Amino acid sequence: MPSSWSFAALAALLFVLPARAQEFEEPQRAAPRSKHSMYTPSSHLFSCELPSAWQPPEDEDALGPVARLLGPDNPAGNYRTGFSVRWIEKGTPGYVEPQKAVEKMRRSDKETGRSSGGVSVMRVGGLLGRLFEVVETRTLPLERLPARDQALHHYLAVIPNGENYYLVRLSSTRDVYLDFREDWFRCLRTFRPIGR
Amino acid sequence: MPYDLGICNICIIPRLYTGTMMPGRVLCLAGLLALLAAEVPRAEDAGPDQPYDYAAAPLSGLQTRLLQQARYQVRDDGTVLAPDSQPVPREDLPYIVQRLESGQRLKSLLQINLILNRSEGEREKDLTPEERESIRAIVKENWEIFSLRLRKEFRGYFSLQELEVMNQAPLPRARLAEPALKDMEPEQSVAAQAVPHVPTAPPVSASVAPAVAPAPAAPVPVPAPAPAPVPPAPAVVPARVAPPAPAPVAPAVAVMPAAVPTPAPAPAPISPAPAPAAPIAAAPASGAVPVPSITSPAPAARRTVPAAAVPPAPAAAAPAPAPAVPVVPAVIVATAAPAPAPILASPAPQPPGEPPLVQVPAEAFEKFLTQAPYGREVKALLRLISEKAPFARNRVLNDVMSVVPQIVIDADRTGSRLYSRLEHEPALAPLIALNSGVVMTEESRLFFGRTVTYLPSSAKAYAEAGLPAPDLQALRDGSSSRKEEGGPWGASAVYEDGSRRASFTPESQAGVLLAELVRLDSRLRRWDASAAGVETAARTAQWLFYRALAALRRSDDFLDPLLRASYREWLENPAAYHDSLILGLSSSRGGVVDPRRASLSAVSAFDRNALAGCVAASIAETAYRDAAARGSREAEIRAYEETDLFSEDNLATARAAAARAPAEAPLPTPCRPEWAAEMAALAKSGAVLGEAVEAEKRMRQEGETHAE
Repeated sequence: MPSSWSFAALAALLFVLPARAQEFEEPQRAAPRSKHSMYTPSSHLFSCELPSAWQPPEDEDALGPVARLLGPDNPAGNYRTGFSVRWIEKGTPGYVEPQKAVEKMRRSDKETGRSSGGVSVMRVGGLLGRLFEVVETRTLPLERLPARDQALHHYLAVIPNGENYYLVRLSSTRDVYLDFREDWFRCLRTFRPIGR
Repeated sequence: MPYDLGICNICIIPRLYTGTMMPGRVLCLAGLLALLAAEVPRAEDAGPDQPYDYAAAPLSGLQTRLLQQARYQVRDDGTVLAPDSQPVPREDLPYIVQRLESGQRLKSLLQINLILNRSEGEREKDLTPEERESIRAIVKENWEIFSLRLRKEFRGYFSLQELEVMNQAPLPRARLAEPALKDMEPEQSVAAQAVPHVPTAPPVSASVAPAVAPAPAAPVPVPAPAPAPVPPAPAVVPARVAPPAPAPVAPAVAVMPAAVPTPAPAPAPISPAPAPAAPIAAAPASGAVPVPSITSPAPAARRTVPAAAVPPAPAAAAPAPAPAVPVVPAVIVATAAPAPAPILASPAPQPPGEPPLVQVPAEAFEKFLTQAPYGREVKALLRLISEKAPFARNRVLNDVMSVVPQIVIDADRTGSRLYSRLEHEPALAPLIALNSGVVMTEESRLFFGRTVTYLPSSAKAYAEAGLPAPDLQALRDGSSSRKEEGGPWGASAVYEDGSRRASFTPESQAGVLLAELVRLDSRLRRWDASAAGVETAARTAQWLFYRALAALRRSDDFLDPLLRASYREWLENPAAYHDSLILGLSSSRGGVVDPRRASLSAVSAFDRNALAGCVAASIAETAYRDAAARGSREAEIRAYEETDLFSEDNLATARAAAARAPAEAPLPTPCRPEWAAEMAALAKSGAVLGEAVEAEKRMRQEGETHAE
């Protein structure tokens, strides 16, 4: 009978789907969570909890001081996951206002396949941060062959403090970005602007 | 192509390596036939490790001489000893000879190329009698190793009677499939032998010396330097030499031709006061215009002493350096190298051993270029850098004028690099190899769109990965394309099998060359403490250069899509650019930046800790580097696997080879010397990086972008 077959199929589907869902979630659950510790760069830009094993080189480029934390390689070995935290001050060469900076970073680009999700607001260290995600394509590895296009994923947070702002970024390849989602939010939840 | 070959010879050099572009089956068949036809005893006659017997299968005079120049020795019992005094197996010798012949062939063609480039005439009939005679001598000497095509190219230089005699020499054997041999180029060992003797060399100017004396008691006399540009063929070194003994080095010094800058009279200095610290010897005082020493761009040929590394005294005090001998099958000997002294706007103190760092007027550099031992294409790139580079221009031009690095456009020597490769080791001439283009394949995705894979066109890249070159028409030399198609890469050649080949524009190559010269400068002037800092400075120079060009042309379409994307990101989204650069370069396959030392402060902290616990840190460092190298190789093989161009057997072999790759050799000292060197270079590295950062800041303050 058709109706009994339909019920049977529906019941089977309902039985199978949760099991399959568990299977898909399993790798993420099984992924080892790294230990975290409170990290404060020597420039005392900020502090937040970050994976302890990541390498924290601190640098200064043309945009000002930047604290970077380098994490693990992606499976293909051509891009490393990494945090970067910048303090963008008005008057710095290339300075763009926070709102315009968000628009600029979210701007779609056909050549690089850049696209962006919506902007959400989150209180970060007592400041109102704008959070969004950007996906783009890049040929990796850099200047080595063989190379292929690979999708990159960026978690971004622009955290204004007056006309200046923090720019926090977690970059990784798209195939592993969910592995670091918890690290990203953990840093933002524990983020403390220092001396600003 | 390493150098222009001038008029009719433009196709010669690429065809030297046609074997790398041949399909694997044809190559294997050719190698098999050549092995079967070889005069050497066959493998089935004896075990695989049976040493080669010279008495049973003697080599030709030229082959013997090439072996001896490479410090191989033929013993009385017929065995041939390698430079490390190990007998050469009979299976290996044909490959070694083939490699030496290939290097010699390339060297001779470059010598001819240089003569043609320096000639006033553009065609063969316009050559002066001296130039013609020089070419004849080179060709005649190397006729034995010239292929049929090359013989046809040069037969116009000889009479029929001469050709009849010369053609008695059989054609060289078909190219053998190259096994994995360790680096055994001839000049490497010669240069290594010669380097320590540089300071003690008498102020002789130029002479020909054998690389290995035939016997300890009876060295081959050093003939007097010939005044003519091309000397007669040298005396044939006896086929057999005494058993291995410490080879007495002739009192002259072997100098790599590449490092010997243009021997023409140095350009007149702009400043009336000569630079006291100029690293290169003074220009020849006599009116003799020596013919430049020529080096082969082959890896073997650059194993020489850079001019800057040669102490000026006592050779520099030579009153009148005699002309260097341009065409010698033995070692080219020159001490007081008639180098083009850098044109100095004002003498400035400089640390010993480093190139000067002074203003280089465009006219002075142009004058240098007219005499410089570079091909026309490379000269055009250098000229563009001199005219348009807004950052690091004087740095790199001073380096070019004083060190005269080899710069070649040769895809085969870029290995697995997309744009260029820099090789610089202590006591060796620097080499910058630029890629001329890129090979691409496309495959359909599961649902829609296509995936593009960029592949190396260098056989060396596949050999390093332990894989055969894929059977793609775009990788084969001589295969004709089905059509030319426009697109983001400009006009690219499309082949029947769907593979493509696109070329880089000269402007794009000039920027890449500028970046490589900045990297070379970091090593020459010792500000390379931080790889990340060097990359930042090199790329800043490159992007500022492109920006200057784009401003003139009102477009950046001279860049390929990959460079253009990076350039535009640097212009418009610098924070993302700088972050992604470090993340890409510090990956396993990026392999440029050590993630533990990705900034100057990190280098300082790391080296300080390492030096504090030197022994344990060295052991840990060796283990880390081995693991990183292995990880990089495995990732590379995985990337090749994704292309679906290789069989599972080939991939399995490559994986196995990567897994058993030898670890880094143990260090002679408990501490890694680079740690102390990096600590010493930190301040300088910071200063140069600061210059780059300031240059980028200035550009951003201008607030204009020329990407649109």
